[in-house]
Amino acid sequence: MIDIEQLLSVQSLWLVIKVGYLIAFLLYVLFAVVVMAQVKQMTKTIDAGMNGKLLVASRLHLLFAVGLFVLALVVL
Amino acid sequence: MASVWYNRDMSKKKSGNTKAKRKRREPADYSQVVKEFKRTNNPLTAFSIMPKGLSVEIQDKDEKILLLVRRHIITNLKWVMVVILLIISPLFFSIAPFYDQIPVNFQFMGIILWYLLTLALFLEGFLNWYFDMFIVTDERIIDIDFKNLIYRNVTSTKIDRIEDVTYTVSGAIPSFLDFGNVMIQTAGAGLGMDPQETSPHMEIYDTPRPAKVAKLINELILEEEQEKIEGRVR
Repeated sequence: MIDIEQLLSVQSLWLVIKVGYLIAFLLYVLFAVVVMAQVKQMTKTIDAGMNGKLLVASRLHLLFAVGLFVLALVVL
Repeated sequence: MASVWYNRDMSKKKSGNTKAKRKRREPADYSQVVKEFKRTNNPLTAFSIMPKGLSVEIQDKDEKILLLVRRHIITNLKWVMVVILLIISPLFFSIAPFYDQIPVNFQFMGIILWYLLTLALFLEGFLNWYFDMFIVTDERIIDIDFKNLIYRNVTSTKIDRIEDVTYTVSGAIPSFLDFGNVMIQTAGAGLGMDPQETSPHMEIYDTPRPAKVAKLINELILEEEQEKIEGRVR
């Protein structure tokens, strides 16, 4: 016989963990935004030969972070 | 008063006669350090003489960049080791006794989150190293501090404001790999410097070949004085 109360408490535990995961992914998206903004600002200040590559990489990184946040929403 | 006008008049005549002589000299004409090293295209170098394709926002039109230095590449070892450890550690997750009880989707996303944290550490370490640089031009020195992703500080001082340049190499690894700190004392309070400090200075940390950096700055100070004497000051 399954204890409903126990099942509920286990389910709510995983719900809390899921929210924690999503917050972590969201924080990573914010981190990616900060990286992109800083790279943009620094490449304006100085051109050390890798500006184009860094700008593209920082934008792809942000897209990647958003993609993973969406994946977390779907998978969890 | 009349003698002042006379002197100005004479100096104008003089400037006309010596116009060809007053052209700025090429860095290789007055700097042993510039002559000693080959130019490089590598954007990831920690020590580059007359780096190709480098430009700074505050640079004047005819100002030449003579040196770019970053912290010695070995100073990245600490965060690189941490990143390597973080990359391989998920292999040992399954050893944890409770790991099998975690649903597969949570296991999968947990590993992704772990690698994102690793990527974040890598990005911060790399960008801090890449953008934290010190630049010497034929007119000024520029210190770009990029301590973390939310702090940056750009300080510049004209060459003629530099009073003293000293360098320190301390420790076995710095001595072996030839890297150390260069301290540049400047006259008065400069841009971006702490007004509370009695002796304003700039310090370049863990720079490769600190003796060469100090020598180049000394050569530039001498050239600046020579320019003043010969009337080649811009």
